Amino acid sequence: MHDQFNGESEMALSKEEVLKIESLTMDLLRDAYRETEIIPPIDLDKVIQHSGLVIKAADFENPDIAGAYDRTSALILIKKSDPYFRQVFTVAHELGHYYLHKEKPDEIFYRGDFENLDGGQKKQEQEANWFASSLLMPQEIFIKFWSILKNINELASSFGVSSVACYYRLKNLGIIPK
Amino acid sequence: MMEKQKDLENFKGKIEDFLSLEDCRLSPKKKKVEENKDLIKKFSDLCFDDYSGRLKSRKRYAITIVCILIFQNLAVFSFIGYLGLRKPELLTGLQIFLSVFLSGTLVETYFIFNHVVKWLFNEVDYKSFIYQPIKFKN
Repeated sequence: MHDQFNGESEMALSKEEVLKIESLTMDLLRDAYRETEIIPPIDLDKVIQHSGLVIKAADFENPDIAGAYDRTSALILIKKSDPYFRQVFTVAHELGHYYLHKEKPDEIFYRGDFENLDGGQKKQEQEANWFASSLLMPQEIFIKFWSILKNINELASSFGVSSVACYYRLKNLGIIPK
Repeated sequence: MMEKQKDLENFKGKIEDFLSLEDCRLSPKKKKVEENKDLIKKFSDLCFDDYSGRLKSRKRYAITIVCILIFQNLAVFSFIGYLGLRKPELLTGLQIFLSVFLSGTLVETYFIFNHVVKWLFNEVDYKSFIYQPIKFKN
């Protein structure tokens, strides 16, 4: 679920939608970091704090649940046993819903159910995934690091994300061929 | 506060298999951030050295090439002029060779000047080489 990006689905986001998300995440980072330099890996605590949300790690009986989000209680839940890179992506994804889909009061985030969603939900998930990638791998810094490292695994380690997330970000930015 | 707790309970009701809660911090390791900062700095310094070196040397390179070309053209045309004055019969005999040789010299001059103008003095994207990590000021 986490690694389903624009590149894998037939219903790609439009250029305007992508630009909107990219600028939204950049503004969010600018506000959260204030006058400090934005150096990867992105400090999600700063972003969460700025957004007035709370993150809690939880155990779920259902192993397919990766996280959950509730707008009313301003809470994002993540799976305690997930590795760091997956937890940060879950949080960034839920932040995407928080900023992009104000009409969505809550969400339970199941791993691997992307294909079972209907059109509208699928688009929202794609937008949230793009938001997450853009927040964790800001375009300008990401491209600069790619030009230095030229290695997906090292890039992933530098940004604290999975190699698959890095791969799709490179693909979606048109740095490597689709 | 009570309201938040109530919201949380409602939310908990929606996720039936929600078992326990713990505070969670997602700040990255400081060491990794420092490593990345260092990487950006080293890269910027390297690019700066490389580009300032290239900018200085391209002037010297261009002047050297132009001097060599002037010398070469003077030498070739002086040689032909000398032959024309002193040994015109040799000049007639070497007509085909000399026409190819002269054309070759002119073509070579054209391509070298083309290279000097288009590559050596092309526009430099300074901004991308003198990279500053994004820093916003409110």
